[in-house]
Amino acid sequence: MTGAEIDRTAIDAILDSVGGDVTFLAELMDEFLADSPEQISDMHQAFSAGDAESFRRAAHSLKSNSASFGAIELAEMCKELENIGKSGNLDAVGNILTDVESMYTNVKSALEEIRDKG
Amino acid sequence: MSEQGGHILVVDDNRVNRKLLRRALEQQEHSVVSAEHGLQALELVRSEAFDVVLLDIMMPELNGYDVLKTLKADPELRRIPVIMISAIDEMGSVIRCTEMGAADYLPKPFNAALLRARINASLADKRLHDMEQAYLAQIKAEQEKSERLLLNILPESIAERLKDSEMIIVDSFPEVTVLFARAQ
Repeated sequence: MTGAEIDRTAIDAILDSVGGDVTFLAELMDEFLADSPEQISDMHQAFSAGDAESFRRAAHSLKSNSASFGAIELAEMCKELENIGKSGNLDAVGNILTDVESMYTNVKSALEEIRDKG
Repeated sequence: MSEQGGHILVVDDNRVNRKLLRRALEQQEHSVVSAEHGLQALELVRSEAFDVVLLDIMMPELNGYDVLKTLKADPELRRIPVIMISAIDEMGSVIRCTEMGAADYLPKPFNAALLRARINASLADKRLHDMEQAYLAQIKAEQEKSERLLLNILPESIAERLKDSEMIIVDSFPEVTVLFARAQ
């Protein structure tokens, strides 16, 4: 797994919509970084319980947030998981969930770097 | 371009989206209230007057379809423009919501200029409708006022016959005799 690429135009779009407020952007990133592990954990739980709808919803939330912060690869992987959840058959999840976790770790580091640089 | 900000309800179970939309809308001079799910949204629209509702589709408790359906079935609430929040890969859902009466949709991730344009277009529609309703209420009030005036000077049966456009009315009452001829 390579390091996560963050599409800076997505970060710039957030900044543009909030009048260039970098403090707000940092707060928003922190919320994303706080919520994402929960969403991954929700996916694990739903997978274990065979609950396709909850699995789909958690994948959808992580996809949405990843796309907002320009984590395109992570968003694509979550989209794949969302579609699996939508199909109702979680057998196809395979290693994708583990890959999502690894990718998220990379995204986290990349976003923290952006946040800390201000 | 909106002359003044609107009062907007943002409904999304995703707190990052809620927070971002709230700040972006406040940046555009709107006042914002947010709800985490559909049930909370319905409670809010019944207790406060909103100009626009921004509504996510996939939510727990009550999803966006159910909220939209409830709003459009309620005569008091059906005129509030609803803009669906949707990922670009959910076009089927957007079409379904448009058929159900949604005014527009906002793709995620959000674009500030598009958000501004879509909110302002919906606000303009809502304000036009509100203005029409205000004129109708004014016309109704004027009508009631003139009817009261008519009843102050004429017996009720004569007032009714005048409203029915009778050309000639001749009638006698204990305190008054009425002779009325309308010019052709």
